[in-house]
Amino acid sequence: MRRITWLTVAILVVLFALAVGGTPLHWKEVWKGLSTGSPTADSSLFVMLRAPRVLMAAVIGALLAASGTTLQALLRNPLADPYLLGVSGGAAVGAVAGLIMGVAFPAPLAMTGAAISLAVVLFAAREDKTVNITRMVLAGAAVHSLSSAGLTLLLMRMSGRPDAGGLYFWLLGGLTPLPWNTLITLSLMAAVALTALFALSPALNLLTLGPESATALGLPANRVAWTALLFAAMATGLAVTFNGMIPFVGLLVPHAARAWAGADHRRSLPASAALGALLVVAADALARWICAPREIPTGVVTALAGAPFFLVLLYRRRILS
Amino acid sequence: MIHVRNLCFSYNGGFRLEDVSFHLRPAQITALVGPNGSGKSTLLKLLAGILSPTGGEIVAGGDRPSPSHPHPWARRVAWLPQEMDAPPGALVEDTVRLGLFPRSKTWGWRLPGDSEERLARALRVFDLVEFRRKPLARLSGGERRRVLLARALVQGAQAFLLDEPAAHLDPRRHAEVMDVLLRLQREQGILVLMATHDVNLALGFADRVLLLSAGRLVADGPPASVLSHAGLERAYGLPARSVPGIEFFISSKENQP
Repeated sequence: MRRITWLTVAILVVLFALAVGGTPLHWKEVWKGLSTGSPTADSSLFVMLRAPRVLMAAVIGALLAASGTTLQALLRNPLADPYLLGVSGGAAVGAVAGLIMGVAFPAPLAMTGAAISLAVVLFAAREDKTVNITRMVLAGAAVHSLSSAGLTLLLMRMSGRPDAGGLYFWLLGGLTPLPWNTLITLSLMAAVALTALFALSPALNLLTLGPESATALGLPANRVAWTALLFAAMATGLAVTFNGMIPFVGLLVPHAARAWAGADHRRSLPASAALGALLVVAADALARWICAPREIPTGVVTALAGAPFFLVLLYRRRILS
Repeated sequence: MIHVRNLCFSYNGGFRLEDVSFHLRPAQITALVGPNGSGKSTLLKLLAGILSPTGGEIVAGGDRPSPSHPHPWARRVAWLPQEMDAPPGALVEDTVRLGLFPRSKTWGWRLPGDSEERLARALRVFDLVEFRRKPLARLSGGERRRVLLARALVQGAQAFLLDEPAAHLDPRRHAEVMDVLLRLQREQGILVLMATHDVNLALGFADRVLLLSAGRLVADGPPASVLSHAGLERAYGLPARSVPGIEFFISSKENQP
């Protein structure tokens, strides 16, 4: 019963996301265009704008939530999140630098930026071979500020160029439409990252006990942890390449997924990816709906909804217990 | 049987352990005693395969511990740390189930057929059946220790390495844990090595005591002789004396049926 309810909610959210936007969609016209093979205005809008956008939102949500779940397990810290740790920021610097240099496909640069900022945060937060929670959050804040400053600098240099406004919108997590071939390439890379993280989920269960206990239970903890960190950085880098920075998804969704599916990562990681996908699809739909026909960046919606929710969780101390 | 030969370990240049040799036999409870910083926990971590020795070797049945390939060793040896964190949301069952990992294949995805029976039996042995679906975070220190022991039993290890098994336990819980260890030793021939500051615990339960001092093994023998006044004075640098008329609080081995 619960499963059916969730499935219904998911279908309704996707339908809502497909329907809303600057131009209202007439389903009859869409169907006519798709079924007859001679595109109508509505079916073209559906195929070229709405469908890729919903797919993109779903993939971004899955990537960010899976990355957050992995970081929380590896760092044994419920506050670990690609955005708070400055990983998204590092990825954005990489992606923007690539775009300015005229790189057509900035995903590898974004992933490198993500990996570098994650490495810097972990290095700064290391204390006796473990990661100190306070230092990690502070180091994340520093890296985040640094990357924000870097981004502002890069954007200032760009001012005057015709694509600067679009880039700024992208940076705030505004989902700009991508051509299908780019979208498919990025989605395939996302599938690789998500599959790898899912394959590592039994190992993540052991790593939540800490590297010593994990090694004593037969896991080559260091090697596996670095592999998982690399794929988490890859997931974040890809999500940022799609659409800039979307806060709070990687922080809050893993908590919801654990409450829903339990602490076993074999269940909670796919649950987190699914919930993250649904959440970003919904947030993106709201972003198009709230000020229609104008759009607000999706990242602004997740921050507006996520930040108060996060503060309530902190106040009730649920997040740390 | 675990053979330890000329084991050395140094960390950041300073010596932690120097030339330590001993053998651990099945069905024997051995206490590892020594002052703070004498290398007790380090020795346990070396035996558990968490740390790599800088010299010497540890061998059991042809296997050697290796932090980069720890899977085979984890089927032989279980390590029970002093403190266990409760991962957010983890239930007792989830935690005990992690003990199945050393017997699993394909990165933990394929478990042997008897896994569920093993799990159920370990929960029964340590009286955890009613806690099965309880979050680990809500358990007391003593209950968490039982969860660790159940995990070690699921692991199927023939050697249990315990770091301070008496820490945070009231005398009653302490006695319960020790009773279970004695039962495992008797019924399944489990080898127990426990690092402890509790000299009474070592005297009451151990068949044998290893006394470490500044990274060296200074005595190895039956509890009464190693933990004599002279031995304790030498290791701890403090005069030891007994107080007549005060009985050992917890049930000792002689009282076991």
